[in-house]
Amino acid sequence: MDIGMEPGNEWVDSRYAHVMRRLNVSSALGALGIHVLIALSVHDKLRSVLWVLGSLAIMVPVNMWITTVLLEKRGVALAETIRLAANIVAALVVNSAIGWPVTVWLWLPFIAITFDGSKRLTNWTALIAMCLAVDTLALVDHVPWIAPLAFTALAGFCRVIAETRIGIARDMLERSERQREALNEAHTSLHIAMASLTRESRARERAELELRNSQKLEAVGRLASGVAHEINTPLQFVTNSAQFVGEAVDDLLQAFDRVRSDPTREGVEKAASDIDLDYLRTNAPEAVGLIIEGVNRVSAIVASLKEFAHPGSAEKTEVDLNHSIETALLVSKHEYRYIAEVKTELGTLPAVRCHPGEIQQVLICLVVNAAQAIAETTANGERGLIVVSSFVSANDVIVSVSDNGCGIGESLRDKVFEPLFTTKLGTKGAGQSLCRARSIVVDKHGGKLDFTPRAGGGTTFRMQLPLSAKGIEDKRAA
Amino acid sequence: MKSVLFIDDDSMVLRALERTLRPACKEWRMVFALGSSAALATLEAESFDAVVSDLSMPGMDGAALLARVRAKSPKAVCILLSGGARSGLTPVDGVADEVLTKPCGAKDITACLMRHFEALG
Repeated sequence: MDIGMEPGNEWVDSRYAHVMRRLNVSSALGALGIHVLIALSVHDKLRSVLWVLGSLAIMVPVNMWITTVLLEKRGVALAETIRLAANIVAALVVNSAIGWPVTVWLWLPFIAITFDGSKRLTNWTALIAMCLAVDTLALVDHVPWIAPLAFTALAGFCRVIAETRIGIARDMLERSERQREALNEAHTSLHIAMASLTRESRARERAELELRNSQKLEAVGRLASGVAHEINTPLQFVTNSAQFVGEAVDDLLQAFDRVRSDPTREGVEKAASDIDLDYLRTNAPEAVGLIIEGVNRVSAIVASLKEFAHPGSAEKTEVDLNHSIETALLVSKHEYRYIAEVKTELGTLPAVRCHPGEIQQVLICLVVNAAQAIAETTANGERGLIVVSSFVSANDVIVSVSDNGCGIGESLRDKVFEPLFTTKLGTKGAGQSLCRARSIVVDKHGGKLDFTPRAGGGTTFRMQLPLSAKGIEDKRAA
Repeated sequence: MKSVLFIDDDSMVLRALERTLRPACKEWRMVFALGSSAALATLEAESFDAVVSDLSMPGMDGAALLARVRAKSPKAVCILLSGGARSGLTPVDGVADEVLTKPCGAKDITACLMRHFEALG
């Protein structure tokens, strides 16, 4: 029977060889024991038994050595031949020494259960041929027929036991090998999955960082261009008015010179009409008024910008939130002025401890989002309405920003505060991330930022900031 | 006499322009329109040799307005006066012959208009 192994399966090979070596020894000793017992009980010949034992004591190691070491070095054919020859010689020596033919039979099962290397049993044909040869010889030699029959049967029996055991061992080995491979595979795929997870999470972290940076830059850029517009418009009329006033002053000085040289009534009238004095009289003060107005507008914007751009100090400070709201509205004016009218309903508030720059970012974010929501629905220069209100509720200050814009669809409500959330894929982009706003309010100030759909369309965002102990005291005092 | 329409959504800008451009009124007829809807009404009624418009305005913005002027009278000189909100705007964008950036003095505006009128002959 050939139960050969697939080549290359080294682990199974080595385990198998190990089991086989043990099987060799135990089978051989088992057979030996049985033979000795039979010999002792049937013939009662101690000298013969000692001979047999001695020969076995020599031949077992010899057989072992041949089937392991020699076989590996010289190949199967030579090893088996030597083994067979050695066993026959041993049998003959013992037989002739003690004149007891029974010993010849001892070698039949012994040969039957020895192995061709540690991989397969010598095949059945060879075994049967060998048994036939030995049996024939024995019968010719007038050995009683029962002896060859018994030992041949014993040889076959041992052979079957050995095969069964090899089968079981091999089956178990294969099963454990399969398990080992499955485990190995699982381990490998786990490794791969873990590596890709790590890669993904790193990539995501990087993407989030980049997004946050680009959002910051974008917000600054938008603000800068909006603020440029807010400043350049007053500068336009300031420039024009200053030029006008300058020319008017030149005209007046020239007229004055002419009047000084010709102080007659006609001279004065002529000078006045040449410079269009009546026009100047109404327009020059108005132009000066415009200059002052323009300069005031610019300085208000610059003042709020300065406040906005103030590097966030690590410490929280007491802040008038209403003032922050007004500043945020001024700075983000360009975002909503053509889209919506802004109404403020600001209640009396105690000072709130917060990082003013960051809270202003949140307020600007809410206002810009409201404006964008309105821009989604309105067209043709129609303007929506943004209502910003502030009030105190229990121990919190609440600022709400309501718009009558497009509202937030049911399916998007859970995603609004996610880092990558945006409904605008165009140039307006995710510049005003509500995620960052939420993180500022919740993580840095222990407040809340949420929203509710507004009846009749639109959304109301609510920022809730806790009052400090001092704020609560102020509130009681008020 | 050339006619020029000035459009801006800030009345103060228009008033200041009107005053500072007063010396030019001997050469040009100047009309000032507050916001794009007023400008559209004026443009319905008459046509102009040149239109100088603010860029950012509620409703129709300057670029759209000038595109409409272009469609109606292809020979009109179209000038955009940008507040700087949209940087990088160039005449190549097709709507304007020239883009001026606020703040912009009277001399710059008149020089720009003269240049374009002369080019037209």
